[in-house]
Amino acid sequence: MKIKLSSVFLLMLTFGFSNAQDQSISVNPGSAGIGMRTSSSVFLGDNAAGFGAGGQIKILFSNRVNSEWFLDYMNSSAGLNGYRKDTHIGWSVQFAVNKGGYQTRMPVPFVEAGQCFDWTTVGFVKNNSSENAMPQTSVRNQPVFSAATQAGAGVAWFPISRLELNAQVQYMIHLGKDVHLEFDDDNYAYEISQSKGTSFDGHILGTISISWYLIQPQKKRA
Amino acid sequence: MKRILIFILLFISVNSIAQKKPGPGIRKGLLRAEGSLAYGSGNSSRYYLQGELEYLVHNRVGINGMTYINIGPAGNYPNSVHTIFSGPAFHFPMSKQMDVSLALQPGLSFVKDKGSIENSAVSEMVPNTSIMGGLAYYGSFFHLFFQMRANSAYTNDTAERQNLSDLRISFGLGWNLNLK
Repeated sequence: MKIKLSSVFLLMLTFGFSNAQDQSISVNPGSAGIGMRTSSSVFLGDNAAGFGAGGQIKILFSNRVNSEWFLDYMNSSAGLNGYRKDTHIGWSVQFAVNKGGYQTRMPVPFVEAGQCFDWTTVGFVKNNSSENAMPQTSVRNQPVFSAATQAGAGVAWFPISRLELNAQVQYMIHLGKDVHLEFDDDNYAYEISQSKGTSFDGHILGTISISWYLIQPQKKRA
Repeated sequence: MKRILIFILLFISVNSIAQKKPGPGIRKGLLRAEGSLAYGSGNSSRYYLQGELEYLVHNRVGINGMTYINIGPAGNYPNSVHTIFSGPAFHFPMSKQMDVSLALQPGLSFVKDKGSIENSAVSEMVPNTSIMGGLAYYGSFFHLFFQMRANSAYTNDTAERQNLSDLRISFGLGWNLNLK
């Protein structure tokens, strides 16, 4: 049976924070926080997979509506000699499925949708194994700007007040210019291809993030 | 090896439940800093100058940032891999002065090598993902620490795809100051 270290990490937090002294209810509407994130990505149409690092700002609009303003830098391997690098800047609105919203100590499932801007660089290294036998020559495009839209679902959990652990999966479609690599039969990239228009061959994004709510307004008393 | 590590992690977390009060060393308002040498064991061994700064915003949660400056050895490819990590660190006090910490932190590596590819030197920014565990013994102003970081990263824009993943180990003397 395979057990991932990240699962153990979450299990530890569950035990470790179960006796935390701060037992106030998670966060109030109007709260804002910052955090870090690790993302993994699989491109369906570009033969690329990789992971990235980034950060986010969280703003809780109401009991059930949270928002995430993120920046991700992703590095994906493509074929045997290619790569793709994406910088995402965007936002997602996360709507809690349960009635109580984020005012609970239990994990909160949510659905989300949003938009982002994307700077993409693709490239490959021509080497002796490739048909184009220029020894060790690096080929890459200038960063291509496009917009994207994404939607997905996830789970948020506040083990203590102000601290949010979040896991989510999204599907992202890039709009505007499409840039990708062309591969030969041996899975070696040999050309960069660029075209205008929407490609529905987007990518699946999985993200684990940790946020700390620095700003937390007090609830008004009636 | 992995199972032993998992067992140790679970033991620490269950044990931390028994300790109701955080120790005097680790508590909200603590500022801690460390500087030391680190050894990275991976496809190619590397030495780093390591710096760390952390402020505890909660008795058990600190905002943490770390840098690793690659200082050697010469002859590795890529030649230079400097890394920064940032994110929350979680503390599980074992006694009044002993503390175990854990962090799941993303990072960025700045990779450089001169002339490895014919038409351009390698200069690439690479995302990292890592899990860090630490053990520290606190005094009023100083603490002894031991840290391990399992780090995953790879570079693509090199003559051959390079796996930069490594296990980084460091220990030494750090400084701490209670600001609240």
